[in-house]
Amino acid sequence: MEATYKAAARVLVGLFVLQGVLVTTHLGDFRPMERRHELGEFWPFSIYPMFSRGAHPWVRSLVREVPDAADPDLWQPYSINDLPGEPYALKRVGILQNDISNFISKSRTWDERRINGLRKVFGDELTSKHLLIMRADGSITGDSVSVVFTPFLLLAPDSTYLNPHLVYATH
Amino acid sequence: MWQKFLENLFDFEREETSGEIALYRLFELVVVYWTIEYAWRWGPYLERLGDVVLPLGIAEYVDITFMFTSPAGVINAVGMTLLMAVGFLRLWRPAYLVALLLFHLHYVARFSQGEISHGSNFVGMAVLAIAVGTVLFKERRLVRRTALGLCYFFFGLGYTTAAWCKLIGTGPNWPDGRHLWMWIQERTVDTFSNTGVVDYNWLQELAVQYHLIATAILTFGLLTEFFAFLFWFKRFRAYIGTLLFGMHFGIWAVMKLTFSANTYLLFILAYRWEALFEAGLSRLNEAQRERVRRLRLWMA
Repeated sequence: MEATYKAAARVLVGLFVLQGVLVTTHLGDFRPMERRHELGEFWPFSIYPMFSRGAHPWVRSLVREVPDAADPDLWQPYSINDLPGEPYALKRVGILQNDISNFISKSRTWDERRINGLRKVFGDELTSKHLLIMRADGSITGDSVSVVFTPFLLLAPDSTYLNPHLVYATH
Repeated sequence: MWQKFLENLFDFEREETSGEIALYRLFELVVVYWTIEYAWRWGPYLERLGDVVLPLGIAEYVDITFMFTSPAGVINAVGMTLLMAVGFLRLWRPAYLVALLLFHLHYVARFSQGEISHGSNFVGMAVLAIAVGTVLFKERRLVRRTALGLCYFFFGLGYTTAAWCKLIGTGPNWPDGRHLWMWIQERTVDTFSNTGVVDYNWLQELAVQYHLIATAILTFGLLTEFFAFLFWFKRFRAYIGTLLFGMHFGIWAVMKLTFSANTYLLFILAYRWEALFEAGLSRLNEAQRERVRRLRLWMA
């Protein structure tokens, strides 16, 4: 029985060390600041860092269906009470909100490949609809949480429009 | 002390009852079910994806965009399904290990869009634990004890490291109720985006209205996670399991986030369900017990 415990202990310690090595070499928080956004964990090993940063500003996304791309006033920031267009429920079309939010918040470059990657997620929906992808920035000041919705991309049937007031890295 | 710790996890000396074997097979079946569930939930969805925003795991070293081309995701799902079935039926010892590699590929392709999801980690760790036990030992009893022991250890460790991340990431003021307000707003935007409707439930409204209640909810969560390492010890396992259920219920109620697979696995592992089975067994007559003995041989 002693040999059995020794074998199990070796596996336990081995996996523990493996977890330590894989997590520290892959988790974004352990990397230099300039690469933190692009690195994640080594599934299934994890130290489960979700919700570890209290009061940390967050970025999510919201999709709205708008009539067309011609309105120059479309690109201003909005609050939740005066959003442009109509609600576009992602669940109804089988798209996962986390994917769109992270696509917006974690993309550092917006080249053709990245934009086409986002358009592919919406697929046939874009043959007839103009979908405005808005960036939602949440922050807290004192006891008040504020959320600002900024138009980020307009996916139209014929083209993709970027917010003229924002700067996008394309390389 | 080290030996005592190992005994708490693996308990190799103790005789195995029919109830324990049945419970283990149930645990294994749940792991198989969730792996196949993820395989088919993600497999067909991969065709909709087009670019890697966040390279996770092996995707940091290998271009995995081929997984976005039809029918790669579905083929991988078929492979995972077959291997898990082969592993469950004890047809090939390395089956679970190979299934885990395909599962990893499936995960890094599915979550290449930027999110790091933790909903499937426990299932992955359980597949790893069963795979390692199966490869390490031939005697089924030792395989079962090794797999369960590794799950106890890594599940407890996972929750405790989550608490440490919070204390390191924010500090001792992490349970400040205002932080919960931020996350409730974040989840509200997600719900709004998913459904097109802004919707707060009564507990969210209560937490947003009363800072003390929000702080109490977060304090309970942090303390529960912090002491989750006690899951390693037999005498505390049921208590910690119950607290973790409470915490997951709270996360579901306040944040509208479910960790279904984690919760099911915890539910099986936290309590001595085999005692219920044994109690039922004691009421059987001799002929019925003989049938159970034969079933035990087949299940093991």
